[in-house]
Amino acid sequence: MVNMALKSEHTPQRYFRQMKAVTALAPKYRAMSDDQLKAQTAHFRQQLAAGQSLNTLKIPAFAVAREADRRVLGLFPFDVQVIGALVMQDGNVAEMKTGEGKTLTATLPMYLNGLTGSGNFLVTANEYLAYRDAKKMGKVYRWLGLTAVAGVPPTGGDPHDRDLQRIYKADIVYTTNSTLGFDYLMDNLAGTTQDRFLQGFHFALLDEIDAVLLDSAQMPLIISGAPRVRSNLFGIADQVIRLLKLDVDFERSSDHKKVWFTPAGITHMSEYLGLTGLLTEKHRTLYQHLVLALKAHQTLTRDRDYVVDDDGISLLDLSNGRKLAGMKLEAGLHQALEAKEQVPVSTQTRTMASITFQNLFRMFSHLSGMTGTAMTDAAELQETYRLSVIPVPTNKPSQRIDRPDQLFMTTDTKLEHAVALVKQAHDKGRPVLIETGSVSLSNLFSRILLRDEIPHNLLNARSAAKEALIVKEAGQLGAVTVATSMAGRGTDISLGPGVKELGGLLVVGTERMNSARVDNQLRGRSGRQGAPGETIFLVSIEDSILLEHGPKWLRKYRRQLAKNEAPAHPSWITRHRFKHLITQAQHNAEREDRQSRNQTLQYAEIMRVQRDTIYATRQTIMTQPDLTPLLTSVFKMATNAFLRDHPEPTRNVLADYVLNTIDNQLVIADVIDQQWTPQSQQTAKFLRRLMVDQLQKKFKNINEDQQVYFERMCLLKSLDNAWIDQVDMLQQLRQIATNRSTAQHDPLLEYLKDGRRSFANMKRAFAHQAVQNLLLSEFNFKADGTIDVTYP
Amino acid sequence: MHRYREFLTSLGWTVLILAVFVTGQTIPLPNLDVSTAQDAISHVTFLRLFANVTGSDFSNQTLFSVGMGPFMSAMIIWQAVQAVGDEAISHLSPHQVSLGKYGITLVLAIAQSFQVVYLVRGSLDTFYFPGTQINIVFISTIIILVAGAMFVAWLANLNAAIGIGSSVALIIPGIVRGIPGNLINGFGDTEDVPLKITATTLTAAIIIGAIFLVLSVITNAAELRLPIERPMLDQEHSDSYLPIKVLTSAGMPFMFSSSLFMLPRYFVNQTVGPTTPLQHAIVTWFSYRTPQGILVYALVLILLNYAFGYINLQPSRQAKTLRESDDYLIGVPAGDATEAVIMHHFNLLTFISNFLILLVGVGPLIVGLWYPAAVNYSLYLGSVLILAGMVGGVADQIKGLINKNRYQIFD
Repeated sequence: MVNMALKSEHTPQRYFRQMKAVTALAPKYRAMSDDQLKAQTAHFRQQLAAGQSLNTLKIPAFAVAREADRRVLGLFPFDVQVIGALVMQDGNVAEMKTGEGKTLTATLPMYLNGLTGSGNFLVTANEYLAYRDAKKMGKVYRWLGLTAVAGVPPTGGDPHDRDLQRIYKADIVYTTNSTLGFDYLMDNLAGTTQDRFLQGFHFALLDEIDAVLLDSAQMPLIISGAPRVRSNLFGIADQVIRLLKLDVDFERSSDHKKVWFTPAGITHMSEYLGLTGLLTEKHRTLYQHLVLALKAHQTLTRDRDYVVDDDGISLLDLSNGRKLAGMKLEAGLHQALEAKEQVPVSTQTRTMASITFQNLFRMFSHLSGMTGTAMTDAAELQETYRLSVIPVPTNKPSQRIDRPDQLFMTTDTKLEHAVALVKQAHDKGRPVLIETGSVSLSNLFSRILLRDEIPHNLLNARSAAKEALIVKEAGQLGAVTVATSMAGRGTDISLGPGVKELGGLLVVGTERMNSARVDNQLRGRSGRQGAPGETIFLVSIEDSILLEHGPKWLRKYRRQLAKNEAPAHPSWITRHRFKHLITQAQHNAEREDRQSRNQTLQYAEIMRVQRDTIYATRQTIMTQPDLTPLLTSVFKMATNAFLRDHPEPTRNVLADYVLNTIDNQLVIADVIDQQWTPQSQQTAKFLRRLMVDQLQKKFKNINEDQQVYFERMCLLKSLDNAWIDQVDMLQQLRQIATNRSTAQHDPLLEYLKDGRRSFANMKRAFAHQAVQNLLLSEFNFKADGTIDVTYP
Repeated sequence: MHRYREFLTSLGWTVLILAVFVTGQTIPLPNLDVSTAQDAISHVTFLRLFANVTGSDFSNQTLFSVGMGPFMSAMIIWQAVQAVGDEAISHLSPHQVSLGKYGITLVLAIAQSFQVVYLVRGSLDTFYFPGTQINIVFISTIIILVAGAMFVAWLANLNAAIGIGSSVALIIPGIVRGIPGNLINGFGDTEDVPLKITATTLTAAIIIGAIFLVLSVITNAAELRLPIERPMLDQEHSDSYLPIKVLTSAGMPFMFSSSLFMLPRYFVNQTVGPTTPLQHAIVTWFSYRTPQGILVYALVLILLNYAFGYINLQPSRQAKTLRESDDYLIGVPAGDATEAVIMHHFNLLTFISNFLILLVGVGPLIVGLWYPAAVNYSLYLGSVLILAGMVGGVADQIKGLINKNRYQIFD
């Protein structure tokens, strides 16, 4: 729409001035004793209590934290790190080159915001980093008198063992985006105020902000529970699909992401299965399973999109090569995949609660971030989160040499060349990091190296447990490390003795990723903190990025090449036509990602409003001392819902409703006259009176505290159940709406309308269930005065 | 206040944008004798009619005389290109798409501005390039009009992004303003009989118009819903459908029918009348007052109804989208068979809607053979139908904005 100048190429001057002010205070705090320095925290907190703003405390607090860093860690933040901290405190994204010590930089704003009490988070995309930094940097905050903890369990630990109350009471929490998101959702499933643990969201500093907000933004976080009806068709469908042939029974789109049956395929399948009318409503479920099986076979590749191990099937995050813990493909695709890989088929579950990262982080009043590679996406960060990206100058100029890409005709020649490069460097003893596009490619490369007798480490989603160890060795003399894109983030490879003289770490990429940002992250593994280093990418026209996003003519070109069976090109291609291929393909891919993120955002907004309403209502139910007005309202809603379905109920229908929702032991003849004539007005009044009477009858033997507690539980339980259905519904409505764009309907508007309609349905379901819970629950009085409640 | 905030913000933007647009329409072109220019242009009926429904305004020569016209035409051309174009279009980035749309707008704006300035060339003053004796009034006037058109296109996009009523909001005022003129002067050519405005005729017109507006809004909302199965969704909520509007073309045939129909008459001198046999034929076959002319007009309407309907629905794209999202019409395999089914329903519906279009467009003309003033109702009702199509969408949007944040659990 409106293009603004979003990129500022230089750091604004005011940050230099502020940095000088911080530096000027250094001698003052250097002269203080440890105790005097520690006392500053209490001093700052007093000032805050007296109404001072964080902004006025910024300069001295940064100076104090800086001095504490020096005394506790032995690291005194450089001037550029102070600039980075100042940039972030202003609610911006600081772009700092990798290896400039972002972890240390973060201590300054985290300390300042930690002074305000709980609700301050340092968020990374990686549990291992969160735990490590909480341990290492936490020392500084604790030394200064703040509480700082890790929000994640130690590697291999059980997330359920965490003491949530203690964690979220802390001033500063180091955590990951998904941990925080899941905890937020769980917090809002709590039954009583005592069970809630979140203390509000005040400040979030996002490490690798582009990974958190952009790379993982397309998929919402989902808590699933409540199993669906189990299906036994996955196995049959899988067997049928194995019999089908490409281009006869089904066709694929050129990017291999979409696949569909041809009419011939449908005929064949009908024959195999011995039925007619596969596309009719009768065989809907079967056809659904066939579609799922086809997708599982044709669009998902083992060791690229997922890995199979003892735990069954784990999805891989394409942008960082890690396992997506706990994530499953939706709508039965995961089960179809399990059938394909012949592992036990798990049960399908329903979505119970869901939130996108965008919505999660928009709840923070103060958001900022740091990253090595955000400039390429500055515009999107500005539009979506109102965050400006500001570059921070480097402490030492980079000595890294980035060689231009080398393009090959075939994957074979490319890999041969890569092996030659590795050999060459390895003979000299120079450490090499080889990045491959998928788990299977990394295995392949590892085998090639074994054949050539080059010792090496293999880092991929399967060996993630040894990650820290492998990374530690990667910078040593003679080390060769084969990795997936997993190596790209947060792995600080420090060089061993003698490596600098050989030219530092050599990074060889064997494939360009879908985003230039991910490539740059990999480059950033080399040449850290002014050390020498070298990077090169080897690509071929058979790479998946070009298959999926390359131009049409390239497809034809490849086909011709295959037909001619020309001898493989001896060396790389430098022809002009091929020069911008990769960049262009990356642009295409990034555009698609961006559009899909934007869509996610717009649709999520509609769900957010509903979720906020529900969570606010839960809060009211939990805190309100007298719930009578709410109960009156619920009775009214339930009655209206009944009358909506039965505007003029007959005596039988009415009796049925009374027995099933209000009192199952009532003698109908006592309350409903034989000559009863249906009249809405009176029916409503009659039903409501019946409900109020029944509730009073129930509460006869119960004290007031127990009454309120029971009412509260009934309302919450019903609301949660209704909301779970609604979340599931919204998830699906979104899909339905997108196809309505035909009749000049705006899909977003359609989604909004459908969403509102189902919200109204949800309210009726809630009211009905709440009345049932309140009136039909059975009490079992125990000797110690407590009561066991059995819900209907 | 809070719950209407989004609606009020959008409304505020639209008011502001419309204010700028309307202000521009009152600033006269410099270096032009306005009164003689108006005469020159009023003879070209098809241009005036076209201007009326596409947001241009040729009755006054202002900065925005060309106005929305090129942008509207560009939008329709773009949609047509999309309907026939293959993957190439869908692979363009948003930036390239907007470049394409603005590019077409610019070409059309230059053409239309040239046309206007050429028509009023007799009324132009002289304007010298500063410091020289070169008269550049012709070029400079074109540049002003083109700039105006491009600015209006930008306003329309801005309104689509942050206002209410997308880009058509800028045409609605022009159409509303044109309705009385349509009613009184009809097609405005020499054969025309102005409708005498009396209390009776006015009341009749208003009542007929109001009834018709209600009917059109209802017709515009009518749609056929073909049930779809969506294997990737769960069974519980499978109430999804593929909608095809009865009036797939909305009011669009009326936007272009009269100007297209009147175009050939441009070649007949309005004051002298027909002289050659060809000109005689044109006058007979392209007149609202002859049975032959009415027949041709009916054909033009049917053709446009079909064409715009096809462009709006794009059956082959529908079929492709369905196939790629694994959805299918019950009992119909994806791909060609699906397209054939959609096409079949589209043909049926268009056949039905042709009757409505003809009733509105040609009905008054037939009556007009006996009661000449009735002819004016053809344009009048046509404008109402266009309006109804636009208003429906705007109303939906407003409702959405107002309701968006209004949720509560307890009544």
